[in-house]
Amino acid sequence: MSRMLGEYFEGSVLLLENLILALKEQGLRVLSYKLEGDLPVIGEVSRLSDLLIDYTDIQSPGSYRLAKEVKGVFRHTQYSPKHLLHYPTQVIYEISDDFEIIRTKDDFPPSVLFGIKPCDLAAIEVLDKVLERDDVYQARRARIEYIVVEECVEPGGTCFCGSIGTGPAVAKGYDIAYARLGDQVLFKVGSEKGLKLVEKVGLTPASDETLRRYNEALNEARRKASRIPPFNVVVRALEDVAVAEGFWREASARCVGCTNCNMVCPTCFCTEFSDYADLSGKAWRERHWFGCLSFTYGQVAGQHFRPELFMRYRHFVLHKFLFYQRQVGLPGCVGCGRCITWCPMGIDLREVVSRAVGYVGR
Amino acid sequence: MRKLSVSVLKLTSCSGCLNEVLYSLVARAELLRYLNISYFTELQDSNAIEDVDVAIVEGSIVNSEQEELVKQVREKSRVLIALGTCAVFGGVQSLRAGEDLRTVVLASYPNPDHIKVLPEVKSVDSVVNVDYRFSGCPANGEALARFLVKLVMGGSESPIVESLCSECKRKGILCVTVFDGKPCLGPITLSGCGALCPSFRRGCYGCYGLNALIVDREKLEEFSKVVERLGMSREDFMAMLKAFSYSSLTKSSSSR
Repeated sequence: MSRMLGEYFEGSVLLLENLILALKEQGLRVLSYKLEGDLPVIGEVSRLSDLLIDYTDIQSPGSYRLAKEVKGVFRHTQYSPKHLLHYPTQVIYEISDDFEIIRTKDDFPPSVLFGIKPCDLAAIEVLDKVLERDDVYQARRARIEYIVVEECVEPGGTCFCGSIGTGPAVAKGYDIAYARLGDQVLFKVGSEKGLKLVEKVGLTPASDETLRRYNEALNEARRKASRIPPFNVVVRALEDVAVAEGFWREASARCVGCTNCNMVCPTCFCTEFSDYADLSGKAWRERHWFGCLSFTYGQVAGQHFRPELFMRYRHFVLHKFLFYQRQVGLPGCVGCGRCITWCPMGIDLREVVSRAVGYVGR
Repeated sequence: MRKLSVSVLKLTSCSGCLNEVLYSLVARAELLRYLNISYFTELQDSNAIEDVDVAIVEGSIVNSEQEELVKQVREKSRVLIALGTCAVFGGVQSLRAGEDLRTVVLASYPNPDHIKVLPEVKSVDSVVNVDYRFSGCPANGEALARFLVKLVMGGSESPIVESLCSECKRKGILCVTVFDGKPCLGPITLSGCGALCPSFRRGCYGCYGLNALIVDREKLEEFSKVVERLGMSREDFMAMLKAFSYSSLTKSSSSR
C-alpha cells in the first residue's frame, strides 16, 4: 500500500525511539527538550528516555516547576529553538591587524529539531523571515534537516496559542508531527522526507477511533489555549490604545525592565554589538541578545527614543502584536506564554492585552 | 598608540577592587607596557598626585579630606573612572548611614579620637563628574582591563545599561527565582559580573548596584513584595540595597 502526504499514522509511544534512532542513523544530531541533571533544557538527545516524556511542566505567572509523572505532558522550558539557531552570544567576526575581516566559522552539525511545539515552529517561521538576511542564522537554519513537532493535547498554564492561531496543532513547515494520546501516538506527515522516515519506522495507518480521539483532544486543547480574545480583536484594541499613555503606564507599573521576557521570547531577535581588541592588533566583534526593556535600548548618540520604561514596554507589546505583522506578515507573539512564566514579577501579558480590549482612555 | 599615564586612588574600601586591578594588569604584560603608572600605592612609592590621562578612583568618600582629594584628582585627570560599588554607590560602609556615628565608631575602635568620618557616606560621582563607572563588589577587573586597552588604542566605550537577568539568560542559566523559587535581586541589579551567583544556583544579592535608571521607589516596593514572598525578609532586602546601592536610594529618582 502506498502512503501519502497528509495521511495519519499511529503507533505506540515507543516508536518515537525508532524515529530518533532512524534520524541518528543518518548521522544527524537530534535536538530536543531534555533533562540535564534536574534542569529542563534544550540540547542533544540520543534516546526516547532522554526526552521529558515522564514529566509535566507546571507553569504559572512567575513560576515553573517540573513534576515527574508517568505519561506526563511536557510543553516547554525557558529555552526555545531560538537558543540553538540565534545564539545568545557569539563572536561574528575578527579583524586581523591588516584589516581583513575574518568571519567566524560555524561548526553547527546537521541536526533535527525533535519534539518542539507548534508555538516553537511558528516562532521559527517568524525568525526565518526576520533574519532572512542574517547569514549566521541562515547557515544554521539550513543545517536543520528535519523538524519533528509534538502537537499539544494539553496546553500549559500560561499558553494561549489557541487565540493567536499558532497551535495546538501544526499545518505546515514540519516533516513529521505527532500527538501523544496516552500510550498511543498519532503521526502526521508534512513532507516527502518525513514520509520516507515514517515508512522506515513501521507505523500503521491511524484507525478511525484514534483519529476521533486525536481530533477531540486537539479541539479541547484549542479551546483551553484560547485564553485571550481572538488575535484580530486584540490587534484592533491595541491599535486603539497605541497612544493612550495611561494604559501603558498602568500596564507596566510593576515591570522592572529586567528583560527576562525578551530573552525567553522565541521570536525576540534583537542584538547588540560589543567590540573588543587586544594590543597585538587583533579585534573582534561580539553579538549578543539585547532586550528592548533595557534602558540602553532606544538610546542613540545624544538622545533616547524611549527614555521611560512604559515607552519600552509599549514597544515590546505593540511590536509583538502589530509591528511584526507589518514587517514579516506574521504575528510576533506565538502564544507560548514564556514571557509570563519567566517574568519574575509574574506580569501576565494575557491580562494586559485583554485589558486593552474595551479600554476606555482616562 | 601612546602610553597613558594612570593614577589609582583608594578611598574608603576593603581594597578588594585594587586587587582586581592588580590581577588583571599583571595578567596583561602587553597592556602594562602602554601604561605609565603615576600613582598607585600598591605598585610604586610615589605620594605625589600628578596630572594624568586616567584616574581610577576606588572606594567611597567618608570625610572631607577624601572629598578634597577626589576634587584634586578630578582636576588633574582627563578621564576619571569610578571603580567598584563603593565608588559608584557608596558600598558596604553605607550600612552605617543614619546610625549614631559615635556608637558605630566605638563598636570597632577602642580609641575613636583618631577616626575622622562624617555621618554621611558619599559615592565618587556625588562629589565630582565621573566619566565611566565599573560597579561591582569587587569590580570586574577583566572589564576594566578591556576598557583600558580601548583607551590605549584611542577608543572608548558606550556603557550598556541592563539588568543582570539579561546576562544570566544569555549564559543559559535557568532562572533561580522562577524555577527554584529562590529570592534573587538580579531583575533590579546592573549586569557585569557574568551572573556569578545564579551560575552556582544562588540568588543575586545585588552587589553591582541598583538599575536605578528604571527601578524607582514604586517599582522597588513592588519588587520587595516578590522577594518577600520567596522568603527574603524585608530587613535583609533593605540591608542589601543599602549596602550596595546606597547613593541611588538617597537620590530622588523620577519614574522611569
